[in-house]
Amino acid sequence: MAVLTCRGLTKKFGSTVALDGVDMTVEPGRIVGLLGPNGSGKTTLIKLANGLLTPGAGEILIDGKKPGVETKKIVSYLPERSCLPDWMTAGELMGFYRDFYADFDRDAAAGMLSRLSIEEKQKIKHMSKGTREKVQLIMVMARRAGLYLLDEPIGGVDPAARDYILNTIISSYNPSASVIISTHLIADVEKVLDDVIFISCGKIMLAAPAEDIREQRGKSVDEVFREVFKC
Amino acid sequence: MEWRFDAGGAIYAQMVERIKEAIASGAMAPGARVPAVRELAIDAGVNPNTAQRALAELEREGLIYAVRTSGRFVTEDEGAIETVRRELARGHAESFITAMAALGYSGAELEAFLKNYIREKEEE
Amino acid sequence: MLGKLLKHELRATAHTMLPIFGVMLLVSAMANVCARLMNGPGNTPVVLSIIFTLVVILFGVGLLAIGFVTVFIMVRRFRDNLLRDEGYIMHTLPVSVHAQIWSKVLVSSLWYAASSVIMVLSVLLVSWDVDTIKETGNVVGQIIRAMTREDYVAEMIAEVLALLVLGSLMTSLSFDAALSIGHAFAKNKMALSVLAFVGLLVLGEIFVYYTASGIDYGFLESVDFIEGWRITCAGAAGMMLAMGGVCYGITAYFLKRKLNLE
Repeated sequence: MAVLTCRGLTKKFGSTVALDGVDMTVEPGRIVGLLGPNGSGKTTLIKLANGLLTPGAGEILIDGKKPGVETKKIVSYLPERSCLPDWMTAGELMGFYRDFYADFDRDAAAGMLSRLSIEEKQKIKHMSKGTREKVQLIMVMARRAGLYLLDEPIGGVDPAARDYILNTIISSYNPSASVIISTHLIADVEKVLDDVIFISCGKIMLAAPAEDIREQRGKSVDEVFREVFKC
Repeated sequence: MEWRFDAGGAIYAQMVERIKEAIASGAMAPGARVPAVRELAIDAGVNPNTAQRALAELEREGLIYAVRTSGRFVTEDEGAIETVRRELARGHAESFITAMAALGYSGAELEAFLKNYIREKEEE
Repeated sequence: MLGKLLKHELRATAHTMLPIFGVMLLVSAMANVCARLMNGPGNTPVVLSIIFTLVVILFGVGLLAIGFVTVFIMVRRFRDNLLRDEGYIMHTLPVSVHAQIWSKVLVSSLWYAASSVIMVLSVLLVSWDVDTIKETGNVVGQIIRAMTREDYVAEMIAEVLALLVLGSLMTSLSFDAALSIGHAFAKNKMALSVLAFVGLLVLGEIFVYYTASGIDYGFLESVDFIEGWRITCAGAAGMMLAMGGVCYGITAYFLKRKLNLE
């Protein structure tokens, strides 16, 4: 069964249409790139999958269920904004995740933190912006989730941090889980993607395996993206 | 291994090519352990499914073999290694000859040029 | 899951509330000492007496402000934790909206109660000497005697306490409802929250006015005092439950359906 299914998914904010009849499925074990320019509807789609927004029309299903308490148990979400409660220490944050998520692997999280030499006693508010972002990614990837939704995980980070983030994603997700990475920086992520979905103005423009695109068109996904979204 | 990928063409195919070169040149010795899928994926910064596909392809061509529980190893069949070495050499020769032909070099001219070039290099 | 939410909510709020309570008690103790020194024998130097006066004034201001400060902190906590960036984490936890609201309302009511206790303690601390201890002991003794002598005193105290608890739950819910409405909009979220609060207040007044004026109070003549009291309490509780229920419904609806995180 598909991990994520959208059927005629539509969302409007006032008169602006953020998503316009989106149909798509994500199968288990795939790393999917949700690629589109800023304002194309990527974040709206991810928020709908998390139940942070409700669809205007159509439906979105996670493991066959509407977003709710049950789906939140298996979805691990990295929001676009860094939003950790800053009064907590790294250790308290792990306790928080452990309390609410049965699939949180505290040992894995502690291991990743110590590799970055972040101490458990360190307070979030005393960390740099880059460190905070990494800590949040660690909390998200240390869950043994069924679906990871990563909204712009590499937006505005330096190349070393980008490699760290992509390596963390590759090395921590389990092969039966799916990962959706939303981004407009295609060249940076295309090597880690199984499938790509191009989205523009709330509509799906192209959905195909990344290797098929490269093989059939003899071009990188990034180049194809630039053609599709030529201004 | 240093991984760099061309924009066009499937990534798994490029990985197969790179590993073949390593086997042919001896950088990966016969019987040496081949990195596991996840290890290879992280090293090359690619999707684990892509790394898996590359290894499956190499296995299909008989250049590596899987041992249950202990992983994958480079073939010890020297004939197979020699074959892949020739195959790669032919590929390089072909692209060289095509490029030279485009510059107007005929077969005899090309041979003379190569002999000269190699002698010059040796004298240096 | 409500238990875990309550635990984390308590911990998150305690780290701001406990220091405030601590400071309040400290200021009260200092004000006590200062007042004694000023009224003590001998002349106090001017500088010291200014400082003493300031400490006593600080105590007065603190006593007046502590209730408002608690409300302010609880309102801010609800907004920051559920309607701003932290909302991305809170609303993707596998817990229901109802558990979220209850954890907030119960914990803030607890702090309202705690700040009342701190106010009483501060007053006791500031006026602390052998006489006041005796005095307080006497009053408490009298209350206890009254409660054991007459059944209905204990009952009345219990009913007043119950109404206070209900009132603080309702107050929390009305703040939460107003914030949830205001933050459903794209801009001017706080201004619109205030507007929503005023709107809820006006609606509440109208509701109370019409309900209270629609009753024929003639029956009070035929009942004795304690029965009249009970009916009044039940009526007040009923109105608070109704208004609290409406605010709860509004909060749940807006958090579930109209969440608008930036």
